[in-house]
Amino acid sequence: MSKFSFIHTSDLHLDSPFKGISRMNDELGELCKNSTFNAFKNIINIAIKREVDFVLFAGDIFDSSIRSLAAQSSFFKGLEDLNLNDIRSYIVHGNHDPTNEWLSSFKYPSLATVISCDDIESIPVTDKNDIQIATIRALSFRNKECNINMVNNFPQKDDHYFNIGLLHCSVGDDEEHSTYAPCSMNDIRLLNYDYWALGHIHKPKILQQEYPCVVYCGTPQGRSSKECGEHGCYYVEVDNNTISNFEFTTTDVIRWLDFKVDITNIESFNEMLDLIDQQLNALRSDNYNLEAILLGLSIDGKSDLHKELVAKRDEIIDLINDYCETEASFPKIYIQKLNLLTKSITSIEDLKKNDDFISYLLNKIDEARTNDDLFNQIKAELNPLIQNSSLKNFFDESLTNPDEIRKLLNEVEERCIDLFSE
Amino acid sequence: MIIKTINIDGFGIYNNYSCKALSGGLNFLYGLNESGKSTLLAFLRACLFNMSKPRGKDFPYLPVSGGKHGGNIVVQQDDQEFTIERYFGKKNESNYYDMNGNKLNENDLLNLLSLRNKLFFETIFAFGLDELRDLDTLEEEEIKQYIYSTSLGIDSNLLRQSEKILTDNIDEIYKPSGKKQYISDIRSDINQLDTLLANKYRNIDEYKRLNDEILSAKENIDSIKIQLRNYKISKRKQESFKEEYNNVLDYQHYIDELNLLRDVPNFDVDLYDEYKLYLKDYKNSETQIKDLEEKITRKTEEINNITINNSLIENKAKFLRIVANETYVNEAIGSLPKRKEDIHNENNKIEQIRLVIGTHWSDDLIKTFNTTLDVKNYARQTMDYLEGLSSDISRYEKDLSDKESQLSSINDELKFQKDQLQTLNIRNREDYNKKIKILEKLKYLRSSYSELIEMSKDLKISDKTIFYNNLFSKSRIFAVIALVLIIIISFALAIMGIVDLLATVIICITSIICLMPVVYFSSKGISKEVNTNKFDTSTQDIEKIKVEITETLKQSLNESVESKVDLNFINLKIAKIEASLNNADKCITAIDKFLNSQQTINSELQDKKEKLNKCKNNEMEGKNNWINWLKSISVDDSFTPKTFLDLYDDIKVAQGCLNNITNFENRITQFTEKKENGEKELKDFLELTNLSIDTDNFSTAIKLIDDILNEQTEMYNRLKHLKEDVKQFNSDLEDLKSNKLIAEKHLTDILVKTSSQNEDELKNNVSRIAQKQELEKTINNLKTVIHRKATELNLEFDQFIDSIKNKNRSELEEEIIQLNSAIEELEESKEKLQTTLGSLTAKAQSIMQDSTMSDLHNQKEAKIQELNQYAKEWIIDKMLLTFINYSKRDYERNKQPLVITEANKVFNILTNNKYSRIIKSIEDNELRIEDCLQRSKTIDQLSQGTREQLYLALRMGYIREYSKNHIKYPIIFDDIFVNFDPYRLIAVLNTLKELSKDYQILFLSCHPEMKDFLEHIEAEYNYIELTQEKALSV
Repeated sequence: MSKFSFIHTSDLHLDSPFKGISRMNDELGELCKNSTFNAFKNIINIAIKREVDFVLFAGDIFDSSIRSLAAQSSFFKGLEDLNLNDIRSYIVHGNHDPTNEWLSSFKYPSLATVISCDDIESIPVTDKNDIQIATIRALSFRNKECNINMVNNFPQKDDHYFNIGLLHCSVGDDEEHSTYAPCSMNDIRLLNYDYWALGHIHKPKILQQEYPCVVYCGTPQGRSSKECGEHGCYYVEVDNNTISNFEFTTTDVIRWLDFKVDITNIESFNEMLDLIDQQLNALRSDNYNLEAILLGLSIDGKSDLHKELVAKRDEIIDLINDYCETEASFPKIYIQKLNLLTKSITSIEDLKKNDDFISYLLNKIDEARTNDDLFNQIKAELNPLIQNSSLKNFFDESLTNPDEIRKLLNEVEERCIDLFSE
Repeated sequence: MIIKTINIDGFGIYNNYSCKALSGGLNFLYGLNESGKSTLLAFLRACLFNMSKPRGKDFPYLPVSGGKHGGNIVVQQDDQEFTIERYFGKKNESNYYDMNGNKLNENDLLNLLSLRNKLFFETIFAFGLDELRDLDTLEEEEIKQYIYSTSLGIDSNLLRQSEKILTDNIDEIYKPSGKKQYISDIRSDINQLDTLLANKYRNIDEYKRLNDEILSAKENIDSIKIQLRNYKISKRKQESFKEEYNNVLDYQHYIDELNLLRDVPNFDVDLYDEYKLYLKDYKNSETQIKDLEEKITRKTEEINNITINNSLIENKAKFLRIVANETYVNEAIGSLPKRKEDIHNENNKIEQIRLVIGTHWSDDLIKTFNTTLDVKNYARQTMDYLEGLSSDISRYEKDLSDKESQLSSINDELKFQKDQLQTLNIRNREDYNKKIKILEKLKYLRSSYSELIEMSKDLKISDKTIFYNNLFSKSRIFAVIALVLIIIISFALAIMGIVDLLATVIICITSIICLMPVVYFSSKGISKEVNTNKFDTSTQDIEKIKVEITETLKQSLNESVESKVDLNFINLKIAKIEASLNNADKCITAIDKFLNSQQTINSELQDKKEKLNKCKNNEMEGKNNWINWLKSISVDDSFTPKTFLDLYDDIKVAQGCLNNITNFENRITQFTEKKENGEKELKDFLELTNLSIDTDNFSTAIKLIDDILNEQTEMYNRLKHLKEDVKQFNSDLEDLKSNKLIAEKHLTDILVKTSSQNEDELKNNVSRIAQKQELEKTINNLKTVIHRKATELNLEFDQFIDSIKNKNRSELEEEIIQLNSAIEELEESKEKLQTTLGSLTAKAQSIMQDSTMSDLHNQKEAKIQELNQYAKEWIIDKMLLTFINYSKRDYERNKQPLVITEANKVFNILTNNKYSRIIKSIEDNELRIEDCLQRSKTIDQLSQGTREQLYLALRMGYIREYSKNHIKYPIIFDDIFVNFDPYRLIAVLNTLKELSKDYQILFLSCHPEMKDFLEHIEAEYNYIELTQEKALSV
């Protein structure tokens, strides 16, 4: 029986901009701009180095709204490289690069197969000796919206070969991503394929380990704080129609990370900066192969520094950068977000127990967490901004979604204490 | 507190006025103007809380109608009545009495009735219309605190500052109607970026356009290239035609020549070389045949000249055997004397053996030894067997003697141990065990004895104490007698005047002191006699045990035991018995051990004896077998196996000697016979070979024969070689003849093959064939060249030839020139197109490599992020500001002072719910009124009447709130309802009616209709009409 290997990747979103970058500068801008291309190059290099038989692209290679020529040029160059190394490639289109959207006139190389959006294709995959080793069932999409369960239309398994399903779709519910060609795990299980190479969800996720192995490989380069952590592709080895090796290989060059520093018992600002410096250095050495780290820094703990931190909230990132970042620091750490989770010695709960206006106000804020009427009244006050027709499309969901706005009450509480603390 | 009676001595218009009809509830005191309502209010205030003289002025309300300035009131509090009497003047007088007329301490009463807070009373409880209208009367700090007791808990400035910060920040970030804001700035930045991006998107269209142009240019270039290629092909074809023009003509010419050589026979020209080789072979064979025939003739002649004695040669072997026999016989004869000496020696040895063996020597015996198998082995085995048995017997005998000596020593030891045991009066193990039991019994008795002795000690009665008891009992009698005697004697001596009385007394006292202890202890001893009975019992037990111990000891030691037995004695005896039992135990153990050894040795002795006997029997049997065997082989039975073996060896040696002698003699005979045979054979040989040689001298004859034989052998060998040569030559001759024939045949075949009559014709044919082949080669070369060209031009060979054949050179050159000019034109167009393509590609490339679009996207995302951050900040601040407003509103509503809350209720009633709420701002003490539609009004915005009602409500609220923790003062209103319309008046009277259930109300008014109103609301009230003369009660 045949032995072969392949790479599963998706959601390259080549040349798509990073979202939620604060404190952008030229250097970071350059890194971000190149990162999706570099991540893609990493995938191609892995495929060539590991001498895989084929590479699966499960949709969203481009952002058709961005209309980037550089993205397409880079992608076709990558496919050419695969071609030169006798590696086949199979490409489906997803919701961000549907076939009826703008596409330039680059030509696909001979070993690249673009899956049609007319009907589900069954493609026999042959090895370098032209012997069939697997069957790929795949479908591309024509439109950027699709609410039809496509998995139901997939044919049954071909028992003679290793069966791969290649599709850009939503399996089950996922709050972070819009629903696209929705289907359930049960639909997938019924087909009894060996491997499902899925795209659409940007965080790597194994929905089922085996029989079948159902995998969202995620985007190879995280581009927003929601896509924090490692990103890469899956390398799969098949022996005798069974997966013999299955590993996640990182490809990202910039990584979003959430990081928490506990400053309990820390008494001075310098001491705190020393601690942060020490922990950031450890973080650097853990991620030495990256070009940059985009950090969501949380400072936690009960400390006397709380008041000072709240008062200097806007300066802290600069302070940390000045203290911890040098020319020689590598990879560079760009603090994107600062969460002050510190608590003063007198807690909010203590303040709420007093019989004064502050406690009344804090309890009112508290009430809004559970009292929908009150919350809606408060929210209605925000409508001039969040309902502004020329602005609302730019707002993050955290500013428009009622549940997310409700989460901001913590910060309202903090702001309140900040203002009224003498 | 209720004012029961008012007695005015002199106060304003009042003189000697008394009002005793006041009730605890509502009292309506009606009086026309100037009837003294306000004076009465002032009197009550002055009476309850005293009155001070204004600086530089007289006391107010000086009596105008006479009487002393002052009076008293009787108040009731908690069922007690008190009289408060005050007179004002230069010297203020205040007196306080209880209901029994007892004067009370001022402080006690003031504290009891809370008559210190004059301000509260005058402001809240007893006031006129002017005071009601004046809000300032409520602005006294103490009252204010009470009314507006609730605060933010923070500095109200801080709240205002915070609100300002939030509002400013909100407006700075985003204000729907504002102009300069962060968000709108960012939005316009985004718009600019979008514009730039739109421009970039146009670039993409440009790129697509360029791409289309590039494609079309590429297509044009491709078509030109194809055309160009076709022209070039045509040009190359024409050039090829031109180049190959001469070759094709040559080719045609050679083809014609070749046709002329068509009739030349076709054969391989190498056949001619082959012909020449065969011809050479043929001639060589002829020469060699001739040489060989000459050699054969010469050799044959030589053979014929040689003569040979064949019989001599044939019998050469026979002669050599004779010579060898002769040599051997001569050597043997030479060794004869030595052999004879050997025989003599052997005979001597036999004689010596005979002497040794003596009578036993016999031929039969020798025969027996030769015929019977394994005689020697049997004798040797028997000898070994008997010797083995003999050594076993001697070993067993030695072992037996050793064991017997061991047995004897063990018996001695046994006897010694038994004697030892006897001395210990123990016969055996049973005796020993019995004695052990007796010893245990003895030990038990000893412990019983010891316990009994201890018990006696515990009773403090032993032999010794008994003795001392006896002694004390005797000394007691003695002491008493001695004491009496001493006293009598002393007093007698004193009476007799011999001794001083004092000395007598001293002696007596001394004696008493000395003898009293004796008496005391003896009496103590006696007291212990009560234990004697127990002691006796113990003593008897001890005696019994002693007897038993004695008996046991006797039994154990087998000897008489002393009657005096004590613990030491018993211990000694037990130790002795233990020692003897220890020894006995050792002896018994040793005896047991020796008996075991004795038994073991006896059994071993028995075993050895049995083995010895068995060995002896075997020896006997072996010897008998030996004798029987000797007899069976007829040998004297006196031989032991050893002597038999010696005899056997001697006889075997003698037999060897005899054999040697026989051998020597046989060989001498054999030599003699061989010599004679040799001479006979020589004669026979000479006859056979016809040689006439004298055989007398055998050796000389042999030498002569040997010489002749050598000569004949040499000649024979020569002849043999010659014959072999002739044979070889004949064979070679045959081969050569055969070769000659083969060569001849080949020559003929080649001539036939080449269709030639002879060699010359063959030679001529070969030359023509070579010429033809040369032509063909040239044609082929030309054909290859032409064919290559034709292939290059994708033409068939014949097609190519025909194309050239039909043209002349000038035509071809003309066509080439035309093609060249066409190609040049196309090349020019191609270059132009390629230049265009290059510039298009460069443009497309520059668009494609333009990364500003990515930058713009990133910038836009960064702006969106900034926008979101500001929006978030706005949302947080906006929410906080809204929360503050909500909280303020609710705080004002829900966290109002209790006074306001109470006042609110009254105000609601008074205004018939037109105004729903009195609100005190939480940031300042400003009061606002909220109507039923929740519209807020400040106090200034209220009508006079409503304002008065508000103040009244506030006072009532205060009264309710104050009374919760303080004394309930009487409430005194001085015509305060003048601005109330009838509806509100009824409302307020209703409120008073309600209030009068808990408070005494003195309602002073000059309006008689009030009475009707009170009637109307069915209020219970006490009507008092005020006149200057008297007070009437209704």
